[in-house]
Amino acid sequence: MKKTLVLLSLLLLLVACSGQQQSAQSVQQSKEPYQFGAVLPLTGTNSFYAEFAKYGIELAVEDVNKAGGINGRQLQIIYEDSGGDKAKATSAAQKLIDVDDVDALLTVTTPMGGAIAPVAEASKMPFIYESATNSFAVNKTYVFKDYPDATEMCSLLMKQVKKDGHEKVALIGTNAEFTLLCKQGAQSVAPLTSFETYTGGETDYRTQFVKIQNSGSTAILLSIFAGDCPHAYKQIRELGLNVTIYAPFQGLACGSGDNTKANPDLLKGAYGADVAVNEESTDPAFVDFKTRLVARGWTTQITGSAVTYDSIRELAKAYEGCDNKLCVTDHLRNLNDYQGVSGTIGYHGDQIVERAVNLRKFDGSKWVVVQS
Amino acid sequence: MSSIAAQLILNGIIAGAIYALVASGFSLIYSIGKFMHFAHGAVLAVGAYMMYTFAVVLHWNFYLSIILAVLASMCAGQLMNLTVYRPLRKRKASSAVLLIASISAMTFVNALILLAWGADVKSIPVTNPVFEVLGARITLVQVCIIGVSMILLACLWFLMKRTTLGKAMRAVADNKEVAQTVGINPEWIYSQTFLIGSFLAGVAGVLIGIEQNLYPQMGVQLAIKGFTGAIIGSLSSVPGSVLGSFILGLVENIGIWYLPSGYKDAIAFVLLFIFLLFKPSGLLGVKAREA
Repeated sequence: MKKTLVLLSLLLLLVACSGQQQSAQSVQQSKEPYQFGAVLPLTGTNSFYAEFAKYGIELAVEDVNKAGGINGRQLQIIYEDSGGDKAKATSAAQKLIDVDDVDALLTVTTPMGGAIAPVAEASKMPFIYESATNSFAVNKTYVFKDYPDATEMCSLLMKQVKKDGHEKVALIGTNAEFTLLCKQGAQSVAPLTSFETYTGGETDYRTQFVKIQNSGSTAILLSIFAGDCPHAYKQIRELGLNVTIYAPFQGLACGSGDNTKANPDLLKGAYGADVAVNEESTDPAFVDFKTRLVARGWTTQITGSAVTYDSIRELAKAYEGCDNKLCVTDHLRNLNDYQGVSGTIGYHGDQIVERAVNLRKFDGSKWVVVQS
Repeated sequence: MSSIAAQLILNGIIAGAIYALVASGFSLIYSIGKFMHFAHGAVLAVGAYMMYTFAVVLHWNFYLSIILAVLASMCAGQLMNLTVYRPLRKRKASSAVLLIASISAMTFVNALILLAWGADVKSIPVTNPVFEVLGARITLVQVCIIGVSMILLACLWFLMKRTTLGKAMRAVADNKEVAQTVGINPEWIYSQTFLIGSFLAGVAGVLIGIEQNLYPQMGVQLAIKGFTGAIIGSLSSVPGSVLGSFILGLVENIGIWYLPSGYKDAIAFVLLFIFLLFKPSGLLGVKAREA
């Protein structure tokens, strides 16, 4: 009898302790920070995109945590390097999901978005990619695209090309979907005289430019990754091409700070199109963001950093009041008229964001917004 | 000749000269060492980045920077030979093992370059006047690349055919054991081969770095093109690999005049495939005698 009582007491004690441990674990879990995984091309020819993305992400994390975190929990970011390689991006995303058990994923550039989207969807992981290509998010539940459409940018630029009186227009771009979307957008306004592509990683586009020159084109749309623009500008100069440049994704590609500083002579009369961030805006939230970014000496790619800043804030907002990932995707999808530092953002029940684009003109030293 | 045709041919020659600079060193090391030294591309990148460091970062004299950059490449190549390949040769490692080791060495050196210089594209600013030849435009650096590849080819031919070192290198390439019996030290020959091959890589790195800008993966891309050119011409013949490289450059550039430009890489690999299928020894290669 005594033995039974002792055993019973021990059993009750064990049950009580495990209950406490479980509730301690739940308390512990509920205090554990949210983790978002960022798969960025930290190395490789597209590392330019990772540089400003990281700065935007870090400021966003700071602000989210300063405001009390998400559901009372802090936010952390885990970075993985894709090296600009699709296979590495896929492995990195898989590792973040399976090993790090992240709560959401983010990436930049089209190749990375395309590589990670199927992984995120299959793993039911909320995923935002910043690229001008829509198709990765179409018919998905967990995959969201947060960048304006290449079609829209190139359509806007083509209208300006025609306004400027150019009859023959060429497009040269990286052999990727965003270039095809740019072609679509441009041709919705007027036909292209010449369309040339190159494989990502290639550095010699001389023959493509000779073909463009031979076509008699006086305007050229450059749908090129930022890391390839120095090669393109060098070869345009060497071949003596007399063309006006129109740059989609201006702030993040051939109209970026470094490319502009190195080639002001080639950009005479140039126009660019990009997400509608007015870097001269006096909006207090934007000014604060810009000041903090520049004060840390991190980057002058304000637009790019602003877009990734907002992507993180969108994910953080979507997690508010949610205890599962499907709820997060519902919140994201129904995010309308959200005022980010990069402008008004809305998904309006879709997987693809609606963001305004604007037209910028190169005034000899910098890009000035001329039309929204 | 129309100016467009002239420009196309010139583009092909310029591309071919760049590939030839890479292929010549690659082919030399293959013909003596009997393995594919893919890390040759990394040695080239070292030359380019050291040129950038000396000339742009440290603002040293341009010509002194060239000499030091080439010396740095030679040191990098020799270091690879002594620390990676020689220990494997002592263990009688096969060519496949040496190839894998070379890929590892290339990856390691690329990572070091990334760490030291970062991932952004860099340039070596030079005054680079443009000339017109038969209506086509060519820069001074491009003329130098074409000229240097021809001069180096001539020098290599002279070295291999007319010098004692060249004879010893050919002897080791033909039969290492027999060469040893006549007093030739194979390891010393391999050292000299790597020094000369890395010298070629260094020169290539400096010229290509000035011509094309610098980025960490530049060596990998160039090694692939150089390898393709060498296969077309003949992997074990330096003149063959140079010829193959020029053919590759011309076919690529003339090919995309008629085809969509996105097919440039496809053209290169179709050409490679055709040669592997129908003339695996390359244009100037000798078919191995069957037993």
